[in-house]
Amino acid sequence: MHITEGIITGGSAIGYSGAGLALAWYGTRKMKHFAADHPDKKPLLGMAGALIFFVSLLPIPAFTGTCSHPCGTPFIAILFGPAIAIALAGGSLLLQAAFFAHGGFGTWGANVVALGFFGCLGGWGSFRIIRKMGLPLWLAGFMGGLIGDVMVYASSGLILSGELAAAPTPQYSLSGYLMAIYAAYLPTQLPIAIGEMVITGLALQYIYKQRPEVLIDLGVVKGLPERFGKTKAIALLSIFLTLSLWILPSNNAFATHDQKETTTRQNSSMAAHQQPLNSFSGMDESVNEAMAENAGIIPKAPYINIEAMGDLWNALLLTAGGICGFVLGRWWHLIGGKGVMRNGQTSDA
Amino acid sequence: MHKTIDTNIQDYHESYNPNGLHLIDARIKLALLITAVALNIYFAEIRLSLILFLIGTSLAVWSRIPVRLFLFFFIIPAWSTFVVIGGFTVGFGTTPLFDLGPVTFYKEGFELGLSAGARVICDMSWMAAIFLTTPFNTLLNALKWFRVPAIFLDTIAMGYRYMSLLMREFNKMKCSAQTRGGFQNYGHALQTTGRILAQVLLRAYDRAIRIQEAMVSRGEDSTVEQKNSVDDPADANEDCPNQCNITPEYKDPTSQVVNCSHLTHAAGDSAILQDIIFSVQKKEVVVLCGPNGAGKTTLLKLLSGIETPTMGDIYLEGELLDKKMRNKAFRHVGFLCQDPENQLFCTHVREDVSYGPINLKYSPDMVTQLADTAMELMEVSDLADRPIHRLSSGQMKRVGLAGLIAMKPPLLLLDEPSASLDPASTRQFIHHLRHLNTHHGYTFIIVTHDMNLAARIAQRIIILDDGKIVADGPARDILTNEKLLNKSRLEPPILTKMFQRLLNDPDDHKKIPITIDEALNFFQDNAFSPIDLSNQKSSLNQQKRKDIQ
Repeated sequence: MHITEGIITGGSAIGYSGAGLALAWYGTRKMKHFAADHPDKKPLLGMAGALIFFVSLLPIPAFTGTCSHPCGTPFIAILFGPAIAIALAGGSLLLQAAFFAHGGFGTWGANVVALGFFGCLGGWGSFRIIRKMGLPLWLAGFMGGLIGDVMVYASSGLILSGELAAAPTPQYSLSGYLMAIYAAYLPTQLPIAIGEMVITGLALQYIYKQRPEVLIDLGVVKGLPERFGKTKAIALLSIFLTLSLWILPSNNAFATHDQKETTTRQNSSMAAHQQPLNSFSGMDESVNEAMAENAGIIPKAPYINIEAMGDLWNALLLTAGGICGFVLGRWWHLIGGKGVMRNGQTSDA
Repeated sequence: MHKTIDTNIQDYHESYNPNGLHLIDARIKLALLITAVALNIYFAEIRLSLILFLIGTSLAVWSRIPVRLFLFFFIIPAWSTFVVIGGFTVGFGTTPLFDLGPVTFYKEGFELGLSAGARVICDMSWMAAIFLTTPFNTLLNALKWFRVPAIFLDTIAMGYRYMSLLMREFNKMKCSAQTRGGFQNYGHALQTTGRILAQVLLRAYDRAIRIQEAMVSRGEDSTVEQKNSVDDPADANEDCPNQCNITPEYKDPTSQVVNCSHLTHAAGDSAILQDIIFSVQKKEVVVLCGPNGAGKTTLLKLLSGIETPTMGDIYLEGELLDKKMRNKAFRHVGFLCQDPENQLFCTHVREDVSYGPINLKYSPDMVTQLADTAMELMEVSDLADRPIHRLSSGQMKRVGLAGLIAMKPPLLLLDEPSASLDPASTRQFIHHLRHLNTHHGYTFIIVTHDMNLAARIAQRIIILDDGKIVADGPARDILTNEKLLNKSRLEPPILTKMFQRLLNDPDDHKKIPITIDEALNFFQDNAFSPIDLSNQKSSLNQQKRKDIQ
């Protein structure tokens, strides 16, 4: 998802360009170190550049009947590390802007931040965490591809919404634009994210089956034989499925509306002196709004209106939040590469 | 023939255009582009954008850029620009223009959308004007002047060079998978795409290793001191029809060019080469034959200093090829890879041919002179400004050879030079090899399975089988020994085989022709006329018919 030319202007364009340049500069420094440490692998950087360019042009069949392209950055970040992948993404975006009018020079910085920084870091980070948990390569690849792609989608949407909300006479708030952009891109971006997930995971698995030494050489896996925590994988998958089924649509989401309707009916049908059936059914939004009006505070629309989002979104949001919170809370320290000590032994990826 | 827009742009770059921006320095053009885009984006004023657009378009007109190429830059962003204008019209403003069902379009939003559209057309007009008048490699060189890190630019250049190749490989595998039901539904499509992507990555990984080998053989990271005098006097090449001065300098004309003594090489536990002993004299053309996996390519890599032998010594022009010498082996030996895609790793032809001379630390003028002469000699001067990925296999082979002879190493190692060439390209390539050998005095060691090619160019043939030399001798003796060739899973040339049957005297090697010229001489010497042959043929046919009846 490239941010198109002409959208980002003024100070934001300069800010994003600066951020993009800083990220590309840092990645280039890492590339220099890589070339200095491994002079025999210098052409590999060039091939990685070609690869990121190629992957971002790879056609993925979308369920809407069309073909679109993946970000490619999560896959490259898993193989070459996030810093190098960001620099490669910067170079690739320059070429795409120059020869394919894809993105543009004015939005280059914002695209480096979204596609490069968030895509690479999201893909690589989730891959590393899942590998540190001892889960199989394909699952780590799946999650790396999915989360990297979703991060690109989310960050591009956020950048775009910020720009639109900051423009003169906007119709919606930041959250309004955010929801509108997410909803508009969902039909194409969701299949692409699933496609990128499957392709990234399978490609890594096929490479491992055919030539494991390549992944060892690139530092994606360490040594043979590869340790697959099958029990862990099955347990985690079971927990995920159970949670998903348990959280799926319930009547809780409609509680406030039901309550409102019940109260209205009770008020109209009952005599004033009669006691309601429920002595106290809690404070609803109308009371909140009335109190706010009395206090002179004008009610505003919520930034994230979960009532308007529908059950599926709420369920997905809750599941994703729960899993991410659990994973980050439990294994956050592993991002830095420190192994978990178990029975005096250090685990590795 | 159908041409893509990309091809049209490259053709336009190669054509002679002495107009407008074509004559301006790329650094100035790049600075102008950056300034225009920065002004356009920072101020975001519709009037400024339109003024800049008019300037960009005027520059394009001044440079006489074809209209269809100029318009191409506006086609791709057109769709996204319309979406932006539509989105702004719906999402912004307080003054309604009109309603379309539940959607209201606002005046202020429409104006904002138009402003964004103006910014897009402004940027595109400048990009078209600059990129259509500046080839990609010139742009990269200009960026070097702006102190953009070399490794970043090298990576971009290699990405540009190999991107289309990866795309081609992907599409070929995709076609193959499609014909076998790999894309029959979404599930299959995703699975097959993952499988193909893995293959593309593995090929890219292997290619990177081979590119590194090609770079080393052409002096990457060399520490050779600059030479003051590099050329032979021109009169030394009076016989050369090209009148070029690109003859290699033999350090010691009396010593052997290559001398291998008890060379052994192993990968892990398996021996690839065992006790190889041979030497090659100045101006000799040696063909190295053998079945697949015999160790031919490994031997070439050892001779060019890319790999180190496990045991034994190699002497190049009398100098031992040790660790210190390996870094400057490219001064003595040029190595042409089997796959020209690995050999040519720069973006454009001239850049690739100049790569070796630059590593030899010649002055820029000398580099240009050597590259021009080498390209002229190999008949690729007209391709000098063409991107490598647009060359045919035959052209790539000739450009690869030009890149080597521009460095003037006395010994040239060619790995399967006729592979993937059509007969006409092979004939042309052989002509160039002969010319380089006879007129310029280059020494050749050529690896090939093609015994017809060996018969046409070899003075001496070495057969390598299972890592050992099983035969080493004059070409005639080897090519007429069918038993020996068959034992090494090789075949004599068709002509030789035919004469062996015809003469029914396989022991008399000297009589049997191995080339067409020799065959014609044979006919003349033996008073054999085509009529006799036709008589023989008709009698053979009659005999056949009788046999069938």
